[in-house]
Amino acid sequence: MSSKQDTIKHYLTFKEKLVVAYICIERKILLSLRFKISALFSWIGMFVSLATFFFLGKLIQPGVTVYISQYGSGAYFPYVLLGMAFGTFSGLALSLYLNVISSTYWSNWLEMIFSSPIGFRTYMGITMVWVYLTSALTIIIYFLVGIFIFGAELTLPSTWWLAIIVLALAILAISGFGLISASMFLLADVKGGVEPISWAVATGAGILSGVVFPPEIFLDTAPSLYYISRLLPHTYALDAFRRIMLNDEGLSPIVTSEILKLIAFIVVFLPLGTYMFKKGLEKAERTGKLARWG
Amino acid sequence: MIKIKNLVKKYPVVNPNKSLKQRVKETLKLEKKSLLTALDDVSFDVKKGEIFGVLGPNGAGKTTLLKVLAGFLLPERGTVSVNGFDIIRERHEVRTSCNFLRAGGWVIFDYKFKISTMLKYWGVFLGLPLSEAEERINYTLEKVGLLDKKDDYVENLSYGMRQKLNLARCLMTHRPVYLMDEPTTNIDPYSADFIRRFIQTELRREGATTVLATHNLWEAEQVCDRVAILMGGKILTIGTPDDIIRKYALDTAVIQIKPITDDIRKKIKALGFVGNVVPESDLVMVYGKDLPKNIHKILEVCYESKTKITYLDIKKPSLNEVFIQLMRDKNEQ
Repeated sequence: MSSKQDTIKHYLTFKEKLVVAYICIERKILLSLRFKISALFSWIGMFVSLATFFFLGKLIQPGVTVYISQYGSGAYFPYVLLGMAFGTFSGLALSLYLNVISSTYWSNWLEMIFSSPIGFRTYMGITMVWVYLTSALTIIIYFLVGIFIFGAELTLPSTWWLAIIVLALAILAISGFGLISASMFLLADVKGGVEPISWAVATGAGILSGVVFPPEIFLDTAPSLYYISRLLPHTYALDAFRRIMLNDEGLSPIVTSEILKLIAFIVVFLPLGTYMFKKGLEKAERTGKLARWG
Repeated sequence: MIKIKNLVKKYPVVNPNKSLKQRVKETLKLEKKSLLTALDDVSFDVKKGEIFGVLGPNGAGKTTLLKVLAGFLLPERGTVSVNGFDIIRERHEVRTSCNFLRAGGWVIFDYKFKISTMLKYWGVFLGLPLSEAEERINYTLEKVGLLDKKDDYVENLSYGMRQKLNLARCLMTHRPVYLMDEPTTNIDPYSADFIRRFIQTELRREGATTVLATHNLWEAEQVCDRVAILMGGKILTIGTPDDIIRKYALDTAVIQIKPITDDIRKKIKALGFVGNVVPESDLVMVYGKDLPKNIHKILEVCYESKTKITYLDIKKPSLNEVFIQLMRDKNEQ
């Protein structure tokens, strides 16, 4: 118990941070094991949604082929399977920051994170690594179920690494919106559950960007919606992702063009989101809103 | 260990009825926000190893002060250093020097975990190596009297036990500063007594510097070396509980004198140390300074007046009475 001040850890080494990461991940695994029923039903839900799209594909395949003929054989089920896999990551990129900030705020963990030597950034990093890794595992299972149970025509393209780069760029591009959305929680006191920015982007992306049907479908009936879809990074990322995965395209002119658009989104929105999020945390420190109580 | 000089903290006034137009104007800084001064020119020091009480009614600024000291809230003006670190420039070091304990020991625990698991996680999270965190679980649980509950789940703990677990969480770390915000609020008298004894014995033994915010004045009198009374963000007085009582309150002597006359009352009142003499049925209440020391002078007056004293009792004032008096004076101002 002697010389206590000498033993205070204000900062951790990288190795020590890894131990904290291990503890945090062990905690998350233990927590998820405590809620087995919830985990079971989320897996059942995944299976049900795959089955739904599989049978829906059988129904709409003749009509939809004309719109998705640029992707592989024009089959709907692999098209939508890739859309769902992408949607998992893009949904995370959009909601993760807001979820972390709101859940830690409402449970009074935020103050504790700030008083830990690992600090908020490392905590956020650990959470992101965990969430993206578990989501990657979920997506692999999506693919395995899709291929082996529902017979989706999907093979690993030779340019799979480019697909990962596109996914990473998409996550960064959408994270800009995610950070702006999370900053609203702190800057504008949007604590009611639904955050308008992430709601608008998520809803817009879900309907317009080509997750379950291509945006070109709007050209005949509602062209304005098609043009709105061009304002979302999801649209470009999905197009590039599907071209790589279903056509085995490398850095073709279209894929390169989509990647450049994603980089443009990153350049504009990621610094803006980071700046706003930082300002939000500063405001919380100024107004004492790092904790729900007191 | 803690130095506070001219600390000022203001909050924007929360008004749910504010119009959207007004909100937009305030956000765009076209209109000044109305501010509430939560801490107004507060200055004091807390010595290493000292238990310092911050007393005040609800809304006095106690929690705000603790949050500033913990590095969770930035002040508008003034300088604050905690454990030798500046609250603005070295905020992270301030935060990692402090254990912050709030009223209600529920929120920061995973209620589906075993107590020992929870402590291990918090130990590592708060900067201990994994092996040391595991080693210290038994030590800290024993100190807070929860060793037999080691394998119980957090959700099975009572409110008082959860607060003890919170203490164990603090004790896991080697942090030298304890900031406690009403730690005994809403818990049973036995657990509250345990926590008070814990502060007095264990934290003293650890050499920890403790700032205890409370409106339980009896608790402050029992536990604290020095206290500051805060109202409306201002410090009304500061000192040891005894000093404050001596400074602001009078002892009370309850005397039954037979026969009691106006003349005797006047003579007693004329004594320099007596503040007031109030008759109450067949008794007189004498309010004065240092009555145990000066009571013989009252007895002499009675003896010279040839009256008989049949009952005598001297009551020492408590911090509670001083506090109420100070609040009353402040409100009258």
